[in-house]
Amino acid sequence: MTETTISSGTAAAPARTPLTVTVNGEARSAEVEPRLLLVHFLRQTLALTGTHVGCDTTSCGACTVLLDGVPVKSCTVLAVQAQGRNVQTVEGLAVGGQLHPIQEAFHQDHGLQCGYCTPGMMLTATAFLAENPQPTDEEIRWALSGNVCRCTGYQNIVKAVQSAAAVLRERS
Amino acid sequence: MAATPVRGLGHSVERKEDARFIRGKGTYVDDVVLPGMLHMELLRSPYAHARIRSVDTTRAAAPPGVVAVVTGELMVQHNLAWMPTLSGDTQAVLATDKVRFQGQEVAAVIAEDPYIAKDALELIDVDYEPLGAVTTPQQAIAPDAPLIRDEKEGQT
Repeated sequence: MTETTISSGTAAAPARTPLTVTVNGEARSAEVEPRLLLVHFLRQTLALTGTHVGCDTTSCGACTVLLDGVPVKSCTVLAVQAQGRNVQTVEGLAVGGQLHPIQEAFHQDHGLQCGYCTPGMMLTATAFLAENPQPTDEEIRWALSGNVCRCTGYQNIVKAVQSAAAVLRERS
Repeated sequence: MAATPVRGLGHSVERKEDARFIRGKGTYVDDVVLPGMLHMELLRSPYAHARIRSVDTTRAAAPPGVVAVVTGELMVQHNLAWMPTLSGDTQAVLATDKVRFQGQEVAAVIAEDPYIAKDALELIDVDYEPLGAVTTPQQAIAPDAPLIRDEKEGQT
């Protein structure tokens, strides 16, 4: 493959600001444009592409990550807003190669098909279960109402969250 | 009930592809990074129906990192302005003479970085002459309805 010819000029350096964010327990630093979105910081600067951009308009929830444990849609958060804070992404769910119960449950209960919405679903679900360890199906549906799935269907996603809830209750 | 051998029918089958998806290790198109990869952003029409008097890309092409600004006029030069649709219709790739719906693609910026491309969109100067829009089927069948698809005149 021949390399694409690109223009001779390099991008003018826009004002950049130093940023340090703890991502999945690890301090990550970079110089970023103040307008850089958190999702682009994760996907491009840190190459953590498990966080997906679905709609780019805060509607679909594919880009959901946890900011200090709270689900946020990272396409509508500036990277600089995460300065000094903790971000958890799908890449941080499994610990030491051991899947998180929510990951295990999505697999066992067929809570995914294409998998595009799955990281956001799982992160929203983990934050929700931390607050409500014994939810009803209805409560799960409310909790996940900001995350859109366009292939598997919500039936098995709700089932997976219930399975994970049961496992997490046993552990605590 | 005696266990029956799994032959693929009548049994749940564990998916083999899940391992990567539930770990955030899938490779979707948006995840692909290639050497020298460029990014495209589209300028869309704010009008439902308007004549395009001119598209000036001079300012948009200037910033460092902008590789190309493509317009309908350029597509015409390469005989690529119109494309067939699945329903046997034709559709403008980038608008040439007119925009026929709100959000129609008018120009594209190709740049080294998506943020640079998006910035450059704002530097494209399009001179529109707004025309009457049709927003309901009732309006469309009125005898004096604005003719949106004038390239189809006499073909119905």
